[in-house]
Amino acid sequence: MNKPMKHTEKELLMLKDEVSNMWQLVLSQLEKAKQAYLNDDVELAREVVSREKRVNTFELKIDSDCENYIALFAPVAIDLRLVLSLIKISSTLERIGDFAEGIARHVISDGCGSLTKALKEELKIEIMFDTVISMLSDSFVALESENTKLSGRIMQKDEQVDALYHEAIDTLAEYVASNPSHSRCVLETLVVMRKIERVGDHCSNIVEEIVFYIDAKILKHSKSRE
Amino acid sequence: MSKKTNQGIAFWIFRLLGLIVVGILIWILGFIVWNGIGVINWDFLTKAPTDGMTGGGIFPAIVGTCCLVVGSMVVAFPIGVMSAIYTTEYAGNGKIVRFIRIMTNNLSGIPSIIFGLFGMALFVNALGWGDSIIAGSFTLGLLVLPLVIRTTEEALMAIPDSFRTGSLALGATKLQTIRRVVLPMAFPNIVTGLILSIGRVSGETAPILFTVAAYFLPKLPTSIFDQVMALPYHLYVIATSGTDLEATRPIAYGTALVLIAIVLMMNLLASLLRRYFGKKVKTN
Amino acid sequence: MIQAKNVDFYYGDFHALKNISMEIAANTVTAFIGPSGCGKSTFLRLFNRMNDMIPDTRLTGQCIVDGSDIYGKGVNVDDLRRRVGMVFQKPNPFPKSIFENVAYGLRVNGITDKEFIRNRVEESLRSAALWNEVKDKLKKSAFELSGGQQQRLCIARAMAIKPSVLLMDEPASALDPISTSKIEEMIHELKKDYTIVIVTHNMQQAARVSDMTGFFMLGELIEFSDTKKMFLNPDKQQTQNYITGRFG
Repeated sequence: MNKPMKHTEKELLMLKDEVSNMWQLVLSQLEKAKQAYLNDDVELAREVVSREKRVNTFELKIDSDCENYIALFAPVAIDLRLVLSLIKISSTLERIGDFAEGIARHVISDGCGSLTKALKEELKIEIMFDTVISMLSDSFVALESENTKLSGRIMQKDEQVDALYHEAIDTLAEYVASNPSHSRCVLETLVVMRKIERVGDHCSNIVEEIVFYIDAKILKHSKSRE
Repeated sequence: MSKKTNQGIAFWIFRLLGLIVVGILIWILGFIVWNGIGVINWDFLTKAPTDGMTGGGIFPAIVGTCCLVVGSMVVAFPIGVMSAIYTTEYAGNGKIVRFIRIMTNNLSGIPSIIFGLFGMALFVNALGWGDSIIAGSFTLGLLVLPLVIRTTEEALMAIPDSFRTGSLALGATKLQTIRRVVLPMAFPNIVTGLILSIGRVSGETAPILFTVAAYFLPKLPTSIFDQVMALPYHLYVIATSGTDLEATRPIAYGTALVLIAIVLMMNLLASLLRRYFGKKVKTN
Repeated sequence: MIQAKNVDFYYGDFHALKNISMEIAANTVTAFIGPSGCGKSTFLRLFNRMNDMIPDTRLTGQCIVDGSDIYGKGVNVDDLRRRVGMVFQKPNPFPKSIFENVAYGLRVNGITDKEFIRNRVEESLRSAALWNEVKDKLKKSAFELSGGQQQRLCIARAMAIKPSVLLMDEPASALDPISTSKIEEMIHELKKDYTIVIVTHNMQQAARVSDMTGFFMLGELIEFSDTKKMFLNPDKQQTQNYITGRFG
């Protein structure tokens, strides 16, 4: 503990901090997209859209810092795994940021605010939102605490999200049958839900990267996940 | 024949030759000690010769040899060390240095009797010092100068350049580098050169023959312009031209024993000094 | 801070450095890399005039340290070497005590104040990250230290006279990985107070410690740029070939 940190370690820590900051930003983007969507808050949605640029900037910065770190310090073992997973995590976070932006854009342009609160509730969109947001924040905790125990729980949540998504398709199909005039809004809603579902998938990808970094285990494409 | 037998035979030849060398040394030493030990006593070491050198001691010769050793070192050591510093540290590797080296080597090839004649011509006659300690010291000093230069040069050259560059890189001048780093490191080996020179000086007879040595002079020198007796010359005299060669034979062996003992003692002293300085250089 | 302007250098007939120009900023670490015999060490040694000791060498162009041409008329070489310290490939402590090794530079520069020397020795040993290892045996011979410690002692010795520039000629090439990493760590710290130029055979070392990197080949400065750029996206094909090990 008393041992002074070497400057290579410091650099690595700085890299990790950058990813953490990006994470916080993306989390808040997702949170705001949810609020904007549920409350049909166009103002908030615009804020999300305008902040998307910052997410992209983060990704570029982290990419180049990771490249430099590899070029200069030739990391091996756990350091190498960390840098590799940070690169992937940052690009995944950027994708999640894109989804948040996409959802916000729907709020601005789809004009489906008329869609009743009751339907949104029936579709359990808020629950889906909350689930993927908790997935994202749990995986952040997993990286910060270098603890992979949370990974199972996060993966499970992804399955819940998938299930919700499939239920929602049925619900929407019924709804469109009884309200054919709303078909466009239904499709728009489906697209939004699809995005939320994709966020869940990306969160489980992040967890896989964290497990790769900490335990050097490769979960990707293994049968445990469907 | 197998490799192993070959090796064994070679090994035994080397060992035998080594033993022969040691044997010869022991034989000579033993012979001298056996024949000379009988006459060694306090009076022999502290009294002047008496009875036409068939009796008494060799004290004046011991003192004389010591004077000459000290004197010749006073002459040869500073000149030798300084010229070695010049050739190794300052002069680079040009023509002048090569010339000096060749001359130095030539100087060491000159027979010692020539030094004696030269010393007589220059110091005794031309400079008018007469037969004296100073004339003898200068002659002996010249004689061992090449040896001192050679050994000092080697001692200096054995110091890796990295120490010099290390010192210079800290802004030390060349002189500071030599004085504070190079010389302290080379000192033990320079002292070794001194040992060899002392051995050489105390044993030489020819150079002192015409420049300082007295045939018989029972009193001790009072100045550097006095003549003295010297052990090797005394040995020569009592072994070849004494009044009664048979009677002085034991005294001759005794003298030889004392001469060897002095040389050995100086060697011992020098190697103690060397060890002391070697340690000092390391820890300070 | 340090500047070379159209420097050409010859060992006899051998053209060792070819028209090299370079500027090195203060308080940075600059690394020189390149294959053996490429001139990087020769170039380094120009800046404290260590090449002066080699007979039959010739220099054209200008080497400027702190604004003045160090090969100009009336330059005091000893004084220059006080301002431009050097650490060599092989640790070369003097056969003196640890304390006296560090104090040497002060003593030859005429400093006699005991208190001052004592403080400066401690300060230098501290910044060389050696103080804790040797504080109880300052009177012991420097030769009793390990190779890595000896090298750090040599760095402390160079720092004791507070030069503004520290030249390092492969300072870690004779050391084990742990000592090497200690020295690299130290270089990183020293950057605050010194301008450091380091020659190294180890490209990774150059990458780890330096801000700027110069790549030399056959006496020419092929490329001189930001270390990050050099190791990610060098301008010249030759540089790329060398740092990726495809050289030759």
